[in-house]
Amino acid sequence: MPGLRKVDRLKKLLLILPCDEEMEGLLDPESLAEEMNDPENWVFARSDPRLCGPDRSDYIADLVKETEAQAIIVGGPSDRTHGSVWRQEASLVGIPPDRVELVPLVQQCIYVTDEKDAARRRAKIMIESALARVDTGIDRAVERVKAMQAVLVIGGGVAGMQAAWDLADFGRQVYLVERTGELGGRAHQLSRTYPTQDCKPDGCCPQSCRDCQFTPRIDLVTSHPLIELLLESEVRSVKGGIGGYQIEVHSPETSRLLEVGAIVVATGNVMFDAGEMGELSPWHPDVISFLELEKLIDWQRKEDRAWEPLRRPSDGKVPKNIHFLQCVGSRDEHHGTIECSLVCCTYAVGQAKDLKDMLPDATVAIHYMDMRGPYRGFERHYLEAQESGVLFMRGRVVEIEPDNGNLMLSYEDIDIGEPVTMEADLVVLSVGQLPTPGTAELAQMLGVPLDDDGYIGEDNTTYSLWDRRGVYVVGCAAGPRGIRYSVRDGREAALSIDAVLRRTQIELADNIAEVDDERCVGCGQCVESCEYGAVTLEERTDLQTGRKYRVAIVDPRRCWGCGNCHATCPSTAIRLSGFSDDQLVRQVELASGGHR
Amino acid sequence: MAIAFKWDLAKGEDRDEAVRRLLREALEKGVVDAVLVPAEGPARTGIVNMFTTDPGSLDASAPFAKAMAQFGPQDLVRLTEPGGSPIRIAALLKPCECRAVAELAKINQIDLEHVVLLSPDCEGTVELKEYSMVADGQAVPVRNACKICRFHVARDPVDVAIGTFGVKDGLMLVTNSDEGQAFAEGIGAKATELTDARKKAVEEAIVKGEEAYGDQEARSREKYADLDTFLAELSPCIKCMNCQNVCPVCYCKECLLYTDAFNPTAGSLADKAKRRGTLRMPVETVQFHLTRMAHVMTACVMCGQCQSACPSDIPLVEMYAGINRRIQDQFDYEAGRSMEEEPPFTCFSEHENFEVVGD
Amino acid sequence: MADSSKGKEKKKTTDGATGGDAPKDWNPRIVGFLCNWCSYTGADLAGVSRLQYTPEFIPIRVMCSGSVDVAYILKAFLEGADGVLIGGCHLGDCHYLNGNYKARRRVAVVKEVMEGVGLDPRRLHLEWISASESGKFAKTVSTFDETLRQLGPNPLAKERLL
Repeated sequence: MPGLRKVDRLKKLLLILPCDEEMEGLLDPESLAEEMNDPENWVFARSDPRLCGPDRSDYIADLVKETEAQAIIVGGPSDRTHGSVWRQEASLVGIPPDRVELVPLVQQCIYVTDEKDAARRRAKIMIESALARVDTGIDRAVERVKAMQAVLVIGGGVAGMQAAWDLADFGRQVYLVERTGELGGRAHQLSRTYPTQDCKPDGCCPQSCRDCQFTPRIDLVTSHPLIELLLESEVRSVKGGIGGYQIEVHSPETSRLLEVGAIVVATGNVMFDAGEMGELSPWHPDVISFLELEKLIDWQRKEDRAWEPLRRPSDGKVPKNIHFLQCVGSRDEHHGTIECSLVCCTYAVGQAKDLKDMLPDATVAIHYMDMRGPYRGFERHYLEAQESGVLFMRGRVVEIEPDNGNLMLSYEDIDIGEPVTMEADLVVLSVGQLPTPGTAELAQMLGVPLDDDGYIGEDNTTYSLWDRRGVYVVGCAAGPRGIRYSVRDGREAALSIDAVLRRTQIELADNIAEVDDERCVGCGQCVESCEYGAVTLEERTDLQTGRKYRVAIVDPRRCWGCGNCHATCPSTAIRLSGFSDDQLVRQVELASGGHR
Repeated sequence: MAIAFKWDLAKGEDRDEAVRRLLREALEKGVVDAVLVPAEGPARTGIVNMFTTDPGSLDASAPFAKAMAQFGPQDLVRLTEPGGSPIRIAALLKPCECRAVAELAKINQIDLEHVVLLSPDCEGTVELKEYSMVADGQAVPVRNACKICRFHVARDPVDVAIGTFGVKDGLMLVTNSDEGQAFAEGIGAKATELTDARKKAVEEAIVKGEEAYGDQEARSREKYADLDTFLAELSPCIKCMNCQNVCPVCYCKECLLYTDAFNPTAGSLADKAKRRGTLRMPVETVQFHLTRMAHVMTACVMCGQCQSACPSDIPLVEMYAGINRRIQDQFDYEAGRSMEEEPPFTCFSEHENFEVVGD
Repeated sequence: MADSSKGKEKKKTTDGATGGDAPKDWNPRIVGFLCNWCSYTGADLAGVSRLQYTPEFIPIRVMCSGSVDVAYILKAFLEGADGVLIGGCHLGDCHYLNGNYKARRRVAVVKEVMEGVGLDPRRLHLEWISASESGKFAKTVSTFDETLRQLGPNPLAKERLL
């Protein structure tokens, strides 16, 4: 295998892991290492069971000392699964991350074929390719930036308040931007939460639950000295990246530029507007959403009306026939979202049971497709509702028609398989939840991806983009969820942010685009191709000639390392570290098989 | 919206002289500060571009020159570079050059803010080295690129097309922009109506051009259906990079193919020779041509300067004719058609090119 | 099938190569540019799922299908590869929002250039393969291998003075 070349850039330690039985059989790692070993060309290949044992680190340290290796190539695991493990291992012996290459012999070689010769040939090409990568790689100093310590929280619902409160408690300056004039979000409109009913309607506390229920109390957030509240305000533009964001916020009559190190997105979501489903007569005053029912219950509870029965909106009569419709604008291909909105079953069951308790003679029914309660305590909650006399009817109501001051419901009962009509005098729609309008624009500004359903995508659990970006999406901004989960989101984000910003310097990710000023003509095609706004054009003056010129510059905080700019640049003036032309062209040469 | 102006010939004046007078007016009336225009070189043996602020020097200019000067668009890159003095320039270039100017303006290489683009109808140009024969009055065939030109008449984003097709007496100035209109008014041209004869002549020129191009496209596709033809024609390439140097839309400071990645060290050349058996030296000749085609074809205006500059007479125009329009059509793009169209590699549409993906 | 609609019209291969000319022990060499997030992970999964495909497929990991330079694709053919496979995330699933859309444009151009000089565009194959589609990955490579067997060796591979 050795080439004619006698001059290599780096001393390379090639470790072929003999840990896999099938690898042992097909590739014979020991003889492969023997074959690849080429000290004259600075390739030191080893395959030893110690590489898979508990003393691995010591063994590697010895090898590095012995060979004076400056790079490590690992034959066996894939970069996707074990890249970080081996980069950490290498850092213990002082080898930087961009000099570690993994050759996925296990995932992409030994099971591909049963033929020993073919597998070995393939393994050799893949290994040579990795050796060439470290030799042709361009050394890059790890990018470090000093982090701004303040944090921006967008949205003052429970999730945003929790994040703001925790961050402020950690001693950070927090800017809490809220679009409306008050804190609390949707949770603040609820009279109580299910299935954790901390108060009973007949209990000792006559107050509206929401004032004591909510984990971060509004007063605490409002009065915290480190939280600056910006009500009726909106984010207009975002510049910079993790550790150094510049954010333009418009408030009534003022506009401010905030400098923060990280951002919490807690913009919540919105309720499906049933107005588009004319067949359900959504205009009718007695066809209300569950939030409107909350208002009725709340009104009835407040101001000492605790013992008065609930009245329906149209004529103030006490309703006798109350029907809940589940999945209105959820799990529906034609209206709202195809997704389940997660909280509505829990909620409807709770409200129905409360109404049944309040109006024991009334018929209270829930029309549902499946009962979905992804919360601990839901089953008990559901059973209690059944025991209290709430009726559960499986089937989707297709039409509501006003009839003599009441409402006629038509639906197909799935359990008996027949179309049924039924009279109601109050209908409650459990409407679905949709992304907040403007989410796409905000995601674009922040450079975070949007999912098909219009919500900002969840973070990757093995490779956190949020930590890298300094952007954390919490609560219903990341999809429907219950209050306690939103609150926990807020706390989690606060902890993550604190951990990231507490480091005096933030190490940016492995692959970042870099511009070769000598080659750049300032055409700006890379600027157009960057979806993250990481590349901009800058006008400079040549100090010797006084000549002005334009050149692209990369903000390493905003770069996500995709390399699209590189492929767009015809003169390869912008390149992605770890994926330079030198490396890729060499890899292509090795992979292409030569001429016949 | 195109607005037409009349520019009559003075007594005894030919069209060249009429345009010289037009440019002179523009300088004298302060409509522009400088003019970039083709002119006959010394001893009438060639055509060069002249850049002047002196109305008197315009006598040497050759607005309707039967040959194309080199580097017109590249001159505008220099003249409008950042921090340059904001002089107003009237640039008179061939329609194909103007389309290249538009391509360069889209990618920040030319700043058109202070430039008025003028372009006379073009009947094709001869090879530069044959210009002296034209000057002597001999009949010389136009260049291959001109034979299959689809754009004899300048359209957007040229500010003022100087019309001769279908115009009997004098010239018709067809303005395509506010700047063009201001220019025409500034030099004292009289507004007029676009005549039917003009419209018809332009229409005919377009149809004829499309036909000629279409025929060549079909011939090229047949000719290059077999890889051997292409390789054989590249065989005499001396890798002088002339094609790249004269190309108005090939704008890199240094070609990608000159970087280390494509210029192996002595050691790796030996390695490579061992692996491949044989290497053509200097390396990467075919890679250069293929990469250039892929890089440039979306912006290529088919001016044919590459072929004219080739010392080995490689028929680049024929090669490009087979793919030029087809590539641009895929993206609903036409090089130089409109400043609104984004360069194809910087954007995308969600509903396109489905046939290039597997399944 | 990797194909442009134009390629399909022609019954015979455009680059003059046919399977019949192939040396006996010839197996098509495929260079695969696989995006880190989807296709490369799909290839990993194909391996651990014990799915077999031609060992002459050599993977090159890239961060995004949109980062594959046209020069690399052409380079692979000039270095003798019989086929080039580019694997990206499904449209709408790109880890970097829309790199795959941009890749699609570049592939469209390179295919046209290939056809324009007489190299069969079916030798370049773009496919969206998600991280979980190990089966699709193996099938794509195998089908592509079959196509290349029909097309025969890359005619550039026998030409030494390139």
